[in-house]
Amino acid sequence: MEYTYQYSWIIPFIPLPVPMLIGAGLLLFPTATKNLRRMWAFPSVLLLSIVMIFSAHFFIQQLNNNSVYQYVWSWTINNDFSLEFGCLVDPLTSIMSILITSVGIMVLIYSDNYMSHDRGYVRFFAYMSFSNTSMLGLVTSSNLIQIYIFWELVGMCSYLLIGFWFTRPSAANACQKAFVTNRVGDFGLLLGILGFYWITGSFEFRDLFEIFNNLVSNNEVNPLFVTLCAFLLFAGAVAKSAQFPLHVWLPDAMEGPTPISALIHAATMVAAGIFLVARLLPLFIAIPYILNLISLIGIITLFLGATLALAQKDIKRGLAYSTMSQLGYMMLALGMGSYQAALFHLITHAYSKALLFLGSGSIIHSMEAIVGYSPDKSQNMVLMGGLRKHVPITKTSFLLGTLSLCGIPPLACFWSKDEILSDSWLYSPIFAIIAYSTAGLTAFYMFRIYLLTFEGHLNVYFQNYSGKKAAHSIQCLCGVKKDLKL
Amino acid sequence: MNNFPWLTLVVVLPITAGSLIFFLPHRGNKVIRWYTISICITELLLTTYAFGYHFQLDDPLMQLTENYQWINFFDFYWRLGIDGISIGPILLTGFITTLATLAAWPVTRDSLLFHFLMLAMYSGQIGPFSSQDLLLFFIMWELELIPVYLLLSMWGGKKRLYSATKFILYTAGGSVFLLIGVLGIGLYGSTEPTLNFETSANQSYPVALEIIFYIGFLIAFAVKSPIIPLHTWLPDTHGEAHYSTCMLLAGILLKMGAYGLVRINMELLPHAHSIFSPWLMIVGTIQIIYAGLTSPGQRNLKKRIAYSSVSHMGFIIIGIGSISDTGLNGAILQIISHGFIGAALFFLAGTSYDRIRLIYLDEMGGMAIAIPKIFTTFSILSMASLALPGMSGFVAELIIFFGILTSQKYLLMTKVLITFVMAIGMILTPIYSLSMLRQMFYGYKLFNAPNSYFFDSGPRELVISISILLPVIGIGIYPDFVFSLSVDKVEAIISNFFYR
Repeated sequence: MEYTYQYSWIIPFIPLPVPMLIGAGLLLFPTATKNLRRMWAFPSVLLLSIVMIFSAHFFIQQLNNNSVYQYVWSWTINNDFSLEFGCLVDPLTSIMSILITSVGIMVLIYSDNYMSHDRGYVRFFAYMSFSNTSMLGLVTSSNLIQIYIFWELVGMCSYLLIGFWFTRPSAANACQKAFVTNRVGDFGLLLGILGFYWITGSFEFRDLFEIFNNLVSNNEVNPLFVTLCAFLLFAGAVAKSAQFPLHVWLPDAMEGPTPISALIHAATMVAAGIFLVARLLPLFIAIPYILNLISLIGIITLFLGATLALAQKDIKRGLAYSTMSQLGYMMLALGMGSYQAALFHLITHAYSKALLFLGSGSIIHSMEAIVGYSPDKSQNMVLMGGLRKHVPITKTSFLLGTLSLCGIPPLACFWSKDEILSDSWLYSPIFAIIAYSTAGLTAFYMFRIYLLTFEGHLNVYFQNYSGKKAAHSIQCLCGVKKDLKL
Repeated sequence: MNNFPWLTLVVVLPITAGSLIFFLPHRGNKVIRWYTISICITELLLTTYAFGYHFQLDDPLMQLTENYQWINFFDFYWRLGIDGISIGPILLTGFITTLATLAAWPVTRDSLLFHFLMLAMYSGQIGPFSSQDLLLFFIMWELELIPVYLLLSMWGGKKRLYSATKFILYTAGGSVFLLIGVLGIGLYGSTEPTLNFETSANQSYPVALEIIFYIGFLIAFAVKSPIIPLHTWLPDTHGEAHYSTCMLLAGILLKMGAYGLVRINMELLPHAHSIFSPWLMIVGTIQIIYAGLTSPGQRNLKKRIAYSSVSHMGFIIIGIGSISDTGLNGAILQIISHGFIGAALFFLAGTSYDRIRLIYLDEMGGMAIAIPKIFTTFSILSMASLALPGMSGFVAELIIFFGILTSQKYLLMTKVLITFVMAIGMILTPIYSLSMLRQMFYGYKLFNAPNSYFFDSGPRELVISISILLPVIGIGIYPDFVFSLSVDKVEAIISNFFYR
């Protein structure tokens, strides 16, 4: 079926009309655009569903014949340099695009309800669709420059979405912090890309790997320089995936609306770093020491994230640190060279964490009615408790997410985490011990969050209480989906 | 048809039409405004038509040349012509000046004189870009100083006289060196003065003399460009000037210095250029970092943008210093791209100043709710200025990076160091531009504002911002627009460095 592959380049462009139309509309006819309101949610979901069908189709084809398809056309032509745009469809791309679109659709449906009373409803959908566009562009890109372009665009979407409620000074600080921290990573990424271009003279992944392996086998590269470049490339992934030295932006990024935390800061954007390392794994394998460094960073992050998550009062910050810890697991797995385990965990974690975040959004919405709209109060777990009685559906789905993240057998994360842990024994016993004990910590902090929120008695006196239940059906969908992944 | 003096018409039309402005019936500002804007648009259309129909893209030689003897006894010609390097800046000039005239709508004080000066600037700016004679270049270069000086000294903030004086002292000081260089090249070696670019380009000088000429021109262009340490006039001038003047200054005048570097220093003095280019690279790198570090410390909004201009000009200098095809193409793209972005940022800063009447960033805040359209356009352009992919700034900077990388002149270690330090500038840019956004728009309350109700930007301001945004995004998505103009000429210039 070469026929459909020819159109694969269209994937990132399908959701693009929505942000373009909304952007132009908001600038030129603001009142008319805002009056349409809910009308904008429909095309964004529709277009994303089309992409999902597309990518599911590609996925099935990949399963059948496991072919890699690449399509390239040139962007600038000059005498000495030519930049090309391309579209690469391989198993990694198709699985990532399924992940992005499915979580994206769920989150869009959820946020239609969640944001319905917000002034910036339309703007929110523009940002969301644009971030989906750039994320899809990132996973389908076939060369490093294209990766860099979409990498930055994703970072900009994250900036805009974290600063979505721009009247809050804390959100203003958080979005700037996120952008600048990510820019530190981009700095490394760009230098790494330039360095590898200098070594191999190519940006295309497959040419790059081929030329590089030839050079290595002929011993024509300076090992120090290569290691430096690989380290710089890895720095990009470190910043995007909130790994140890550059993780500072992720907890603050929780200032954004909760659907964003679910989509960008749990499922898709933070996975971009893992995706990049996975994509470049053939390159990293050929270079000494860099894999060890990756696994070291991974193990530090997973331990640090778990210990930080133990003592959070804010429910979203707790979940954010837990995300960081899980991303550490993936990085560790990549560092150990177990590519499949890392990607498996990436996917299972994305669904579980999106579920947890959507659940927490529902809780926050319910709490806002009682304690007020300040995030210090409505997200404070100290004030929650006993919500089990009031929001039973949220409770069930949240519990499912918790169990999954802790690695209770029938649920998705068990399989992936088990794989990583068993691989880690083969790699290094010390790392394995840390990873195992952190798995215990995960169970502890996740149940701490769950118990503080749903069990016991509500710590705030309340009356006339009503939970937002409209969004629950979506969560159930998400939960079901996760179990189907098994 | 090819003998029609298109370029003379283009150069002379605005100032001639501008002097007619004084004979217009005195019926208020409206007539003057519409007259000026229609002249600007006619001029822009004329330029586009002439270039579109009579300019061959794949020819690296001078085109649309005109050659009239002006002063007999020392061989002074009215010699005009354009090639791949000057066509971009001329179109940019037309575009930005038209928009600046449109942006100057609110100017009511002495609007007759103001609009005349804008039109005089128009001619004065196109002049240096299109002249093919050293002395003519110098005259045009000086011609444009007078209107700028008047614009600076009569319209603007409280300290405008100080900043105008500083500007004229710096640039006039630079012009002395320019004159020395021009006369030196013109009078060297023969009894007849040779002022033609094309004959001078093929001439070679003793190395010591060439270095002296080079330094002379470099100082003149370094003041204009600006290259540190001669940049200090720029923040003061931009801080005080009216924003339409700022658009001209940031959009075009700074580019004149960079254009001069390419046109005279690279083309006429290649030996000296290859001696000096490592220093240019170092200075450019220092400039990126220095201005990037200075900018966050500025309280004045316009000064902060001015330092960001200085920082971005560093990329042009590096591109010129890299002596590679790619680098020079990148530098020319950056000239165009920063012309748009810098002008747009100054315009937006000016319009938001018109509304809140606050200069200092730490007094501002929470404007996003009151003026959402300005907020949106300001955000997009700040993103463009910090080189977000998809915008022209990114392509330009990326290609300059490649230029260094592919340059054959430097050793690996130097390249790595320069690239590394330049890339640090990439981290500094978002710090100042985003914190500027944060201080102006984010937050919820305006503490010191005299009144709390603002008008959002109307159709005129939207037209200006969108018409700048479109080329910025257009070039960012399809950079061959600009490359197709400059590629062949750049190749011709660079080949000089390797085949001599």
